[in-house]
Amino acid sequence: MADAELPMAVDGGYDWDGRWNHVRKFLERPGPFAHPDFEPCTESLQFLLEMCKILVIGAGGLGCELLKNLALSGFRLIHVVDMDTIDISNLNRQFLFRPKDVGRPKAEVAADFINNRIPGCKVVPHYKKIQDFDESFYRQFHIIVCGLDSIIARRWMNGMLISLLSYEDGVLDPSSIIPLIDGGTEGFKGNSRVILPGMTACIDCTLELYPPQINFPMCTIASMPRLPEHCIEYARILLWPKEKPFGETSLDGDNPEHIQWVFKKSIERAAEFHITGVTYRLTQGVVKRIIPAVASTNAVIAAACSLEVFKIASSAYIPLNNYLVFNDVDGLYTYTFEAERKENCSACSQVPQNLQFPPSAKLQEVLEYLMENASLQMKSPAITTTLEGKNKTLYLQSVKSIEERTKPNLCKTLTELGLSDGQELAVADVTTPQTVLFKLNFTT
Amino acid sequence: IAYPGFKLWGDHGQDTLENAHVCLINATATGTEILKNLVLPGIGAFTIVDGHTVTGEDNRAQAATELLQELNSHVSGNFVEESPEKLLDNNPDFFHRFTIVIAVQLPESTSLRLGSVLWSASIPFLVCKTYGLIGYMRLVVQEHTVIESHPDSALEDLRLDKPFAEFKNHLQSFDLESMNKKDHSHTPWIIIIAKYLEKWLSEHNYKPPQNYKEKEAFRQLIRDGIRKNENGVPEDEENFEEAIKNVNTALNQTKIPSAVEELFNSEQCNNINSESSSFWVMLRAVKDFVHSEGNRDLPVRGTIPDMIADSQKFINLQNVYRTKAMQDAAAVSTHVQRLLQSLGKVCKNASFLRVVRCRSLAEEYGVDSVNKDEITSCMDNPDSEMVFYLILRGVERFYQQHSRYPGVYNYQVEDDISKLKLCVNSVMQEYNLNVNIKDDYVHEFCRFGASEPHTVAAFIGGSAAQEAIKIISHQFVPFNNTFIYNAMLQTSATLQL
Repeated sequence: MADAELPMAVDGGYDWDGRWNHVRKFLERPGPFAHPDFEPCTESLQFLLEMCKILVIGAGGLGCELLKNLALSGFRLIHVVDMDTIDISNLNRQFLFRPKDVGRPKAEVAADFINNRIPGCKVVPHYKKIQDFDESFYRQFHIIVCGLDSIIARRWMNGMLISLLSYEDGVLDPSSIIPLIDGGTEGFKGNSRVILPGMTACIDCTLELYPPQINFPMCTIASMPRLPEHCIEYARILLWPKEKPFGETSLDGDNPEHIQWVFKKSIERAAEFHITGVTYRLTQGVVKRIIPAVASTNAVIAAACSLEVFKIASSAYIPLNNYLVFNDVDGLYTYTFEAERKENCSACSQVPQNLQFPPSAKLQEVLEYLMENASLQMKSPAITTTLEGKNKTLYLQSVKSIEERTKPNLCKTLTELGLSDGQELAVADVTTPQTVLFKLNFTT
Repeated sequence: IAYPGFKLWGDHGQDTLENAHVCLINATATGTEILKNLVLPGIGAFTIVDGHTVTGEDNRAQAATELLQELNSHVSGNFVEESPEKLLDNNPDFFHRFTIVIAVQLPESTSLRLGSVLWSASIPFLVCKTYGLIGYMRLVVQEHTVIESHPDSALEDLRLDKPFAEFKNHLQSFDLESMNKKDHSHTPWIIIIAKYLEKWLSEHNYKPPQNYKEKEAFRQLIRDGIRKNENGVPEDEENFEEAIKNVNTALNQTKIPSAVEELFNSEQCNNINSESSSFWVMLRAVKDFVHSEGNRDLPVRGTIPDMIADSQKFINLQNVYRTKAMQDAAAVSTHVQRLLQSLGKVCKNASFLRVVRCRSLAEEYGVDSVNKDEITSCMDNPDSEMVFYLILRGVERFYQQHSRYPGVYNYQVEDDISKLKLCVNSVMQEYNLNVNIKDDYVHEFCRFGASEPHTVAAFIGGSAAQEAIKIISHQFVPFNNTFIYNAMLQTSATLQL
């Protein structure tokens, strides 16, 4: 058996003696719990240090932790994508940022910090939205790990990786699978999951685990407020678009002047109805839909996710199968289970989706179904179909001229629109990079 | 810097954080992670105790202090370049200044010595360890009071089974039959249930619905109250639907939780004296209230859930509960005056008061006091997380015997397996424990080679920091008393040892 640890002779002399000992023990030693494919060897460390490419999505609370953990575990070729700039309120969790960095892109500051403090690490930042990239970008990574705060973004990422899968004679080619590790936190709760697209449950398979966010009914906000939150929503939803206090700019939860305006209007509204409890902090919380972030929860979840990245990259252990829930409100509680694939998942099952409607149903009903159904939860679906050999847009919201042109279709019945039983509808939405195909089944 | 943590643990909790002075022993990966997660939300001060040096240059404590200080300019960071063993030898009182002491990667003998000093001084002690892919935390605190436990799913305190006078008065201002359509469909469900309960009681010998059948009948009674249009079709009255949905919880008996009863019956509560902490004085005041103005019930909490109603009806109802809560709080306050203290928000959470008592390390390790039952019952399943605790004990025995940890160098791994197994077995024998410890786990511990992988250190870093915050702020319930994290399977367990 080899004696002691070999001195590291890696490029640029970054690695001092024993630097990666804690990692090498898992790469170079056999063990009873390693993955069946695991073969201990000294080359594994080279792979980690020089070849393994990881993509981190998000450079916020989870992202900062992920970058740090990965860099300290031997990963060097890391890309990070984040579309935000740093706000002063981020500083109490997102520890790669300092007061002088406020206003700069998160991805860039995070990359600079890691590259400066952890010798040898080469983090490449992208101050962009995930939707700005296509398959050619994502295909280059061995593993992708997400620290997002948006379900829409998660679903898009999920859909992108599914679109990269290739099948030969109906059999999935394993080399086209890019593992997706996904972490999420809310206050003292968090979860971490491992997704092997095409093989294990994907984000959409378990969409019911993400309940739609609470939106107060409009009639309550407009005429019958009871809670301070109702007053704040009144100012946000009704007064802001009407009074346009800062011109055409949309309400920015990170802009203190905006929040101050909403706060003042909310107090006035609350006074009318003798409602107490409107504070600046609550105003900001409601506008930003903040469930306050806690540094420790982000630390725990990012740790679990980073470890899974390591396990998959090294085969040193069998990865989490496949979902971890964490909650430290009362003591510490974890629950680990295997989320199951949904047979007819709209994202990963390749099974055509069915839409059951009577022919007399209006297109509006179909639209609402696509948005409200718990398994679909689309945000602003665009529906197209083929009629008489030509592509026809039935309804599309995101382009004003098309929205105006197709709006009357919403009140028409499916038969009036020329649709027949078995008709295929193609639906596009922000929740997926690919169009989802639906089959229309007429009910009596 | 804004601390959104405010919203979760309130201004009061934030104050206690800012006044806290945390001691961290050993600025290892785990130690610095824990401290980072305390510095970011704003603890007032920290002191690192560490006698080790960093790659022959800076002392580890100093390097860590500088890095952590950067994270939050308001925190006061200090370091002591001394081993904890030396401090225990020469100046054990050194530790008395701290709000909590957190130690990582300490050898067993040091933990026990320090544990004894801190136990006598009633200072909370959190012992943490990252050992390969196993994380370990042990909380040692004699008596920890939780003033705000913020239970996730708290039952409402509506008192519909025992309506207080002001509520009954308020109820009288409603006449469901004669209301116009708009008022009828915007009456809060609490009022609806209360009204129909009055009706039920008068028709059922003043006994509320007892079983499923009667509750169904009660629900039907409410359903029949929904207004119908001229064609006899029921109108869309969502408030009535809410009432029907909430019948079960609304009919819950108002009673004092057993955890609180236990506290009322405890010695500290019954023997209030000049040494009593403010927690016990407040608790006694609440107990005295219960036996007088409270009519055997706790002070009213005073909050109601949101529900379909017009603004005025909702706010008026909310005010009825709020006013009653304030009255009860004032009554408790008088008891406290009488007991020589002042009361605050404790009232709102009277049913959420908890006390956490952890066994000392001496009790855990003592041959006569070891918790054999817990160990043997967990080990009925040989893959229980308990096995990692037992092997960690064996690892410490190994260190005592060989002055090193098992498997640090590749050439040691294989031979150390049998040596470690002997150590584990000798610990088991001392305690007269007959449990099956699988060889695979012993082998894996040798493979670990006493490494401290950063991912596991970060997991413990987050977990430990949050528990420390709970201890410092007296909010939310901490674990009791041993937490084991198995990073291989991403599972965990809390054990009482």
